[in-house]
Amino acid sequence: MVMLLVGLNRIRDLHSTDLNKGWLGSDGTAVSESQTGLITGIAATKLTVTVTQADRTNTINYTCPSTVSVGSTFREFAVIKDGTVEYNRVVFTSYAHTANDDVIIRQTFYYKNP
Amino acid sequence: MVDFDNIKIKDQLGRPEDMGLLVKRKEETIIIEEGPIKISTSTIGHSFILGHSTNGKLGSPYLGVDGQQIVLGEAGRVTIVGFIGNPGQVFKDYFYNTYFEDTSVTTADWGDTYGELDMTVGEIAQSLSISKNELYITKAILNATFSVGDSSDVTIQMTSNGGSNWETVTIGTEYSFTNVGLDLKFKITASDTCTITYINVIYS
Repeated sequence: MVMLLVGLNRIRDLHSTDLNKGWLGSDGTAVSESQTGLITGIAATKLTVTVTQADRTNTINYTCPSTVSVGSTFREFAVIKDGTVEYNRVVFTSYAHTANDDVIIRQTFYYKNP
Repeated sequence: MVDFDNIKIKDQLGRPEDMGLLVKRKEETIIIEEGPIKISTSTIGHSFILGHSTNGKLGSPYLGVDGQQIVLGEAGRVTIVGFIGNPGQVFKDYFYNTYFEDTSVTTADWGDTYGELDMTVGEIAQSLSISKNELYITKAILNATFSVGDSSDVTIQMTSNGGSNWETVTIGTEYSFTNVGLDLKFKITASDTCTITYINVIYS
């Protein structure tokens, strides 16, 4: 028995409809499954993402422009369905956002058999 | 009574195992897996940005105060990878895409056939950074799944410092780096035809 590729891709498609925004935050607390989302999300950085698909794969592409949240220090990121659920939380090296660059994030999800 | 007699008696009484056919069901699971995250910064270069203190001014003779903006666009932008991380500090590549292929070095077929890294004698598959600025990487284990050939058909090297020092490792064996850094990559060199369908690198 095995999940067929068409089935896995259908699950991928269903999930992709939930992946509508990315969100940055400022808290660097280590991740834990029991968390419900970003510790300290920065409202202005909650922005629409684009999703690139391949078999078994959703890739989320997020950009925080140079004009948004200038002066904030980013430590965490989440892919979310705005107003409903935050799917993951990633903590990374502290980054002080300036007006001179965009922050570009790429996050991949896989849907597969064991 | 010998065992044969015991068996005959059991057959007359009925064995519990004859009461029904038990089917051991294999659990059907679907894995939804978080893959690597890559965070980059891209400078605004000569882009004209309304409201920007530097790049938002209508200058003379060009658009853009730095004097080099002559079209509305994104000229002069520089992108720098600032962070790459993996869940549980385990990098995985199924060769569904070429996100981590270093195309400036790789001569093997990375993902040309979906889900495969196809190699022939002498070909190289080198990755881009698979962990960067996540932690100082002192140890790593590279595992690989082959659909053609096996581990004897390749030589594996890894670097913890972005390629300044490449160190030879053994598949499936923990390796302690002599040169430690914040930028992990791998390089595979084929000595025979082989196909790899999955690689993971566990690091700490």
